Amino acid sequence: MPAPDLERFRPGKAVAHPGDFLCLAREPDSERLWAGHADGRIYAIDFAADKPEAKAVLEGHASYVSGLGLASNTLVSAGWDKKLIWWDLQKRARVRAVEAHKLWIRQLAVNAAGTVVATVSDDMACNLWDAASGRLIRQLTGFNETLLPLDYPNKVFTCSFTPDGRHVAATDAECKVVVWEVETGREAARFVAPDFLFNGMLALGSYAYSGIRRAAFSPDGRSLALAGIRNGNAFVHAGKGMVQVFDWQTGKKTCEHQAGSGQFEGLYWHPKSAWVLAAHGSLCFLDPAQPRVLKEVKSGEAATADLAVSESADAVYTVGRGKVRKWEIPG
Amino acid sequence: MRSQPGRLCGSPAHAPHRRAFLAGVGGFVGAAGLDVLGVPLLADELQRRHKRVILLFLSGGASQFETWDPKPGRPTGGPFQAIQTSVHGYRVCELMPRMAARMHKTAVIRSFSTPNVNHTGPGVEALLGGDRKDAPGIQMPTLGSLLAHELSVPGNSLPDHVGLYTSTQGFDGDNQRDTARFLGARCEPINIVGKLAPDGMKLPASVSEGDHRAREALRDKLAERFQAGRERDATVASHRAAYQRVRGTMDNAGLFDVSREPQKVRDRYGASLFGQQALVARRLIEAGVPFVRVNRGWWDAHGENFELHAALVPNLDKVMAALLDDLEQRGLIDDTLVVTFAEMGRTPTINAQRGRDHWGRCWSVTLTGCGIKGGVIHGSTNADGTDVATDRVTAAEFYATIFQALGIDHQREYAEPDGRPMRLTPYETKPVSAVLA
Repeated sequence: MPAPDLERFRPGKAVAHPGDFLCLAREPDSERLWAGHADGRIYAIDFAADKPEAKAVLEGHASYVSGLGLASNTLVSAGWDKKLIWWDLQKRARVRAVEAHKLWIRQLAVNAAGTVVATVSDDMACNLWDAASGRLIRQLTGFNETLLPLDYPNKVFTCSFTPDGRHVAATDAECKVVVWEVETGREAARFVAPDFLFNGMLALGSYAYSGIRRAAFSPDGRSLALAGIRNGNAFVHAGKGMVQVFDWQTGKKTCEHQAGSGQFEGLYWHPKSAWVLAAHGSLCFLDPAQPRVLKEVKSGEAATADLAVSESADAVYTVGRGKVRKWEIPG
Repeated sequence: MRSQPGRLCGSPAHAPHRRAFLAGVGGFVGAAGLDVLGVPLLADELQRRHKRVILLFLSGGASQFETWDPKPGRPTGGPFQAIQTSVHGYRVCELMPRMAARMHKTAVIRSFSTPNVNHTGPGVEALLGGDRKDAPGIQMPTLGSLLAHELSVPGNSLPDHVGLYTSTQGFDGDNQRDTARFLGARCEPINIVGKLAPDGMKLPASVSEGDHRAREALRDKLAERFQAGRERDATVASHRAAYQRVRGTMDNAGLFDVSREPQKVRDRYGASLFGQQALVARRLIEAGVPFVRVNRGWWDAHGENFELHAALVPNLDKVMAALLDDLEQRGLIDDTLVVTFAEMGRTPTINAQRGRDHWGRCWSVTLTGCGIKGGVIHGSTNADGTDVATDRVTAAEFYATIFQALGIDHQREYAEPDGRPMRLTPYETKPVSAVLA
């Protein structure tokens, strides 16, 4: 699969809808998208249609929908209401709902085989779920409960599987990264990415804020990219976004990018490592091996909150405030 | 300007001897330090006779949606849910489980409405002065200084007014400091920023305790001589009192040392600077400081409002609950008014940075303790929290309520420096009687 020519990357169709779209899942080999919204609903969008629309078809969360993932014919959604909900996409009906965490679920990931779902929450756990049955396989821990000396609750923001599904990583508000073996739950590595930590007011006891918002492993599973913003401030649109790439087994940083505009909230690693795509105010195609921006395109009126990429990497779908957009690289 | 005896809710059983007693106790405390309060009878006597205020000022503007007036499920509501409180039918943000269990002890005004939408400048000055639309052009003392003046105890060697700031926000660049204006230096706060104790509490190595006391005695003697014949000169009196206050504060340095508290008490307040400062505040008011402001910054969440509030609100919940429990357990709550207040609230609209901006039209404040009817939820906002639905409360009415709760006639007249008569709150201002005990 040769990498598409980024010079031809351009915006395609867009769907407007009020409010904030927060997360996105795409059905394989199609242009059918599922987008989680701040109104608690999950919207269906089909970009194959002449005039695509966002239709709210799945309702069950009482708060923001923060994560979506596809496992076979089932869509799994996570929310700030602490619930995980399995949806039958054929029947467009709820299969089961689980009180998955004690606090808000921040992100959800599904392994490539579609067999295991990972969720992370402010209860400081990374939970692994059997995608078919909804059974809790195990709970992974290893983060501090509290940020001392501030006495603030800690948070776990991100989770991601290696492509082979053997490992899962999560990051917290202290910018700690922990990687576990999925099969055993054994901790395989941990390191800190301190450049993401906003601690400008830490000494004054005011506020601590981690700028890591997404994580993605390289296709060979050896590297882990972290995306967010450098320790500038808590304004998600201010300054450049940052991506750092680590050899996660040693914790050694191998590459850093500061690019685009605002805190990167969408992240994708090309299956042939042609580029890493990080997005917020801009969509930035980054060289994963050296600090080089291959292509940067403004996101337009809606900053990107999440993204999905087609199998051949010739179409990118983004969601944000009031907008779902397709970007394409014509063949 | 000081209130005359016979304050509205002062206990008649105590009033006749109050000043004489406290004058004596003040000297005793000044000489021996706080630990005399370990003597139960003495502490009890102080506790029964003294009105005090702790102001938790949420500098930068905490969001009413993520605290006292949640709107879950509404477009303005944000991601957090609401939880049931100990007051039937009243729900607070899920970030406040401890206070939810204590709401029957606290009154909430959800319909507070103020014109200010800035952190600093004339709008803040007007708000902190009680929105004196009846006194245009006059720079008014702020709430803390007014209360320090009203609750001041003659002969007390401790300061009347202490400000504890968690950070420089709200203190320097964004100036929301209390100021006494024409009330005099005695009502100006001793401000402590980013720590637990004021500077200069220890003598330099070159000055012994005996030397310092001898110098202070000489200075005081000279000041007394200078003051003779100038008894009506407030500046001279204030100058002399300021030195006495410094000495009194040094004598009571232990008040700022939270390590003297049992570990279980410290644990309840938590490790944050805000928690530790709140514990210092309790120690200060227990010893006789009438007004302490604990300035908790910085709530100005134009970006990532929910992340900031997910951090700061649980901390507020923990510290406020610990403070109220502590005051109650020590028998202080009936004479101590705990207020939460800020320069403004935050917008219903969630901006593109997941932030909330400045907002004054409708937000929430709380009152607990002295003179307050717990469990009263006064006023309401509309479904999306964009405006007051019932019982709008202004800053002047809020101040009147505070004065009244403390037994101070909010319509009592005093004279400005130019002789112009002035009331504590604007003419015909009504307190919010629904929250008064």
